[in-house]
Amino acid sequence: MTIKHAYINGFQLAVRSPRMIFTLYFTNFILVAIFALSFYSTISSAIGNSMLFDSFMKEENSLFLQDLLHNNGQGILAIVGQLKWALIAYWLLNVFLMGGIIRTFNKQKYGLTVFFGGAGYNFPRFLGLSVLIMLSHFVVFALAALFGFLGYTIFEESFQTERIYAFLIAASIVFYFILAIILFLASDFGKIYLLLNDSQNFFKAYFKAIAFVFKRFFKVYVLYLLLLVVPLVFFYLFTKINGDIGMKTIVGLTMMFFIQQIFIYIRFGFRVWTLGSLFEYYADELLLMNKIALEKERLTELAERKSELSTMINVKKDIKPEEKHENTGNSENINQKSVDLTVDDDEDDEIKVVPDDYDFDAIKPDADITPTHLNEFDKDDIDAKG
Amino acid sequence: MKKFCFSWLFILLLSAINVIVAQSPTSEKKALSNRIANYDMWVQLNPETKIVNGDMVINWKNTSPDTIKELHFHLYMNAFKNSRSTFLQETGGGMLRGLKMDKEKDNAWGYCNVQSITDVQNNELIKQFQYFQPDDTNSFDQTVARLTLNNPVLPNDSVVLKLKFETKMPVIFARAGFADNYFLVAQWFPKLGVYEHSGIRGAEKGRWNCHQYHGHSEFYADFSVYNVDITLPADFVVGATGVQTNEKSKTDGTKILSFRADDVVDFAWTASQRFKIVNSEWNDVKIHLLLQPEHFSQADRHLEALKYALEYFNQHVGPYPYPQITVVDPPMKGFGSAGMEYPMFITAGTLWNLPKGLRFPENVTIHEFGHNYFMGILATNEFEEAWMDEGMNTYFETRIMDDYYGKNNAWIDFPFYQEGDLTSKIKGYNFSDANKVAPSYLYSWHYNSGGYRNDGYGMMSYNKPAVFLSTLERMLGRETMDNIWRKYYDEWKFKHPSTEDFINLVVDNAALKYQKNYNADIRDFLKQSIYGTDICDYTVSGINNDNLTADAGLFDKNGKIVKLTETEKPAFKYLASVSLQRLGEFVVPVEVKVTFANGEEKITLWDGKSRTHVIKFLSDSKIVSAYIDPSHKNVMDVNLLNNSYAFKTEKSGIYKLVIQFLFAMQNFFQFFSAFI
Ligand SMILES: [Zn+2]
Repeated sequence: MTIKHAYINGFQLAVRSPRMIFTLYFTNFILVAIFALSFYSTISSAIGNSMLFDSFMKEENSLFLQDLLHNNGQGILAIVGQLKWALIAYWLLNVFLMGGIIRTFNKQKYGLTVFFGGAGYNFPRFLGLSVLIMLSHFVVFALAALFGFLGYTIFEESFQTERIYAFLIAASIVFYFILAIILFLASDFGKIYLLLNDSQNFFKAYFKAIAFVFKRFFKVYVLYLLLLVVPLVFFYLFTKINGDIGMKTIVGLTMMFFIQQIFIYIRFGFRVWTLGSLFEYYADELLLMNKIALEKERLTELAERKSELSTMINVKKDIKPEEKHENTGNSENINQKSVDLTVDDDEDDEIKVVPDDYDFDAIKPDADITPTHLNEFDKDDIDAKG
Repeated sequence: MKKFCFSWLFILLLSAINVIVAQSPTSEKKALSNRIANYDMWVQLNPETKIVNGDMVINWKNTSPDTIKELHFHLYMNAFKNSRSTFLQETGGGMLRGLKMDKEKDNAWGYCNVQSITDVQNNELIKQFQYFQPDDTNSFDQTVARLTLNNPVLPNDSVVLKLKFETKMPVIFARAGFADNYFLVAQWFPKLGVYEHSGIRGAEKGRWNCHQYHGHSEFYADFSVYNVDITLPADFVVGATGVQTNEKSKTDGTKILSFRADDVVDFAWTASQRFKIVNSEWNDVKIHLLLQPEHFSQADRHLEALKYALEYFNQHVGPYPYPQITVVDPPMKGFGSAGMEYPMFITAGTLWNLPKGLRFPENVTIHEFGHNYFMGILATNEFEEAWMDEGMNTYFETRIMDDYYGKNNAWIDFPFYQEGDLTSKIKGYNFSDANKVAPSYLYSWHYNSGGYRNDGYGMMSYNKPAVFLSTLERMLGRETMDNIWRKYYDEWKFKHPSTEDFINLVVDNAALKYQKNYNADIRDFLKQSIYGTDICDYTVSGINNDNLTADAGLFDKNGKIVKLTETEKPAFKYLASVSLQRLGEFVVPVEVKVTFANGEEKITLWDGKSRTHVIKFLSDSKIVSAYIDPSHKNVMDVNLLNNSYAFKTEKSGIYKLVIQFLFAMQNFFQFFSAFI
């Protein structure tokens, strides 16, 4: 699949998934709203009967805020202190919801059973993968810091201006994000791998996903960067609107509240778009890969038959026709629901795991289809296994 | 290095001409000051060794009624001679304004070594030149020395001395020194202290005021005329106090630049091969910006701020008396020299591509320029009364910044956060750990040695005076306050005012108005603010609306007993009252606005003296709210939240905060989810 198609197909998936986007948005909203309510009650009781904030909407004087923080900072700090638990909860919830989203993509239909079934079933392995990804971010961050520090030690004496420090900081950030994008991609590809393979081995998924990113490096990287463009433009437009409307009247405040919530909702739309595009790209690569595997298998078979024929001719020995498939290694894997997402030709044993009933003729490279029936496990499977 | 080769006669001739020109009533420019200590210098900078070699002739006038037997000198650069100097001891081994002295660097240490002192009789006096420590017992400190004269200086007489000195500039971390080939040459020559005769700054008898160089202290000097010839490699760009009068190229690749500065308290200069020059002017004042090439795009930010400051000071304080102002933008490695003030010569400071929303270069340019007034012209003792230069100047900095850039966003101006300049100062003072223990009036090095926290000097010398002077301005009105500043300028320009001089001046010019408006003594306000450590906190502790009933019972009326019952209609429905409390020790009159249910508003004045106070009203309408200091005149109050009380408050401000909090958290959570 071309990145253009992945980009467009991902967008279409996102457009067709308002309920999933809403689920993501709502989770975020509820979790944060609990804290916002606690924040509201804390500052309400801190302000109490004071009139200091009576005109705060019209004129935002940071002195009043500082006064509030200084004299009643403990309560507000306590809320901020509790945020770490909310972040942990949000992390777990996010991992949970991702399982539902990817399964819905795979099923091509949104249903509560499909969504939450997938979410629950995939949660443990997705969680393992998420821990690996987070650890990798730490490592990459440390590498970027080291990169910056090395630069600092090398250039410190030879440069006269602070420009080099600005460059070093910028370079470290860029360095981090260049590598972090690989992790962002691997995080999503790994999840897709785990789901399609119905594998519990999140370590393997992690490495397979990273290997895939490197094998299709240019394409997937460009795809990811393209997926970042629209959100960035959108973010810029939002800051413009924010400045123009402001929050100086009740109407402005209400409008801004809704605009902000729409902004958050759309940001989740971008997240689903990204995941959808990556899913589309991956799945298509997978089909192509399996097609190649089948073709290879057919050619191998032909070659063997040719060889057998020549043997028959040359040696004039009797051949038992039923032995001809013995070495393909496919027969026992017919019902196995695992596939390899990499296109590593050397790993034939894993590539050749395509269900026998798969209709490859229906697949065209540019066809807008989702491989729902490819190594897919049903809800029944989940129930049976779960 | 080329040796000094002028003959004594020639030098004397030159300095005599200089003194005559400086003092002559017929000279083109009238002397603005008493020009007590005058310096003619011929110096040479060696950029390799970081050494300035110099010869100088000092002409010191005894304007006191005393006979002076010894002269006291500052040798500031000896603060960087070794780790046992008072300066390095007080700064924890060399840490000032967040910058640390790189002692491992080649050539890191500095010194000022006087090699020879001769008088007009050609007597060598160097053996009579001895280090001593007027402020502490640290015998390692060599930042002050006394010279015993062979011939005492009689009243109205002068002494002329010839000195030979060598100053090694240290690596920059505190104000002066070098960073690569950037030099900020300040506090660099043997400089006379101030002889304060009886009556000057409260002196009971004549005394030399010549303190050691301390971690937290700046300087104090008499007004002078400087004639300085600087020899250095031709490719260096130089800026200095004063006006350049001549430039001579030499065949050995060096040049001699001549500068003259009249009626100034110090002479500093800078040299670098990297400066880019921007020239401009404001009215008749020439402006020179010496910028780092990487900051060239910020020239307008500096110029705009400087020109507005010039205009503002001229309008609200007094005319800028010098023909020129030079602004130096130090490089990153020389950032320790940023944000410093010398007459006609200031250092600003910025960073490459600094966002416009961070007004650091504007702020530092305005602040340092302001020092041309507060310390430069109104030459206070920075060692002993730092609040008079840093505090008064910070007060003006906040005025200028907030007037020009906006009172809510002058200092920080980003879409997501804004802060005014005065707000930043109030915040610093209110949040400071030192505000209950350190006064604004304190010898500046005592903030360190006296057991105060580190922020004591900064908060009490800069922030607190800005806060209490802003309060005073709001109480008196800006017009009255400006009148005080203009009078202060007129009366004390080119002199050495003290804290008491300032208090007396304020009393003379505003006590009546203060008394009339607040029924209080303005001296109390000033003494508490300057010498005290009390904090100010007033609160509304409650509102009561008691229903009144008619009088009941038997009353004597015109010799008869009259029976009244509660069913009669009372004259007023309510006895409404507001309870107020003084939680802090600082006493200041406050206005209290009381609002009734019928919309009526009453403003009353409370002298703020007692611990509690009740304001009572007989009214047909209930009190719905009370507000102490509703127009926020008193910015010293450390808790604004408890200044008001209303039964029903406006919630939209809280909603706004909550919505902003919600949105920020939603974004943060979403951002976080990318990493999992
Ligand atoms: Zn200052």
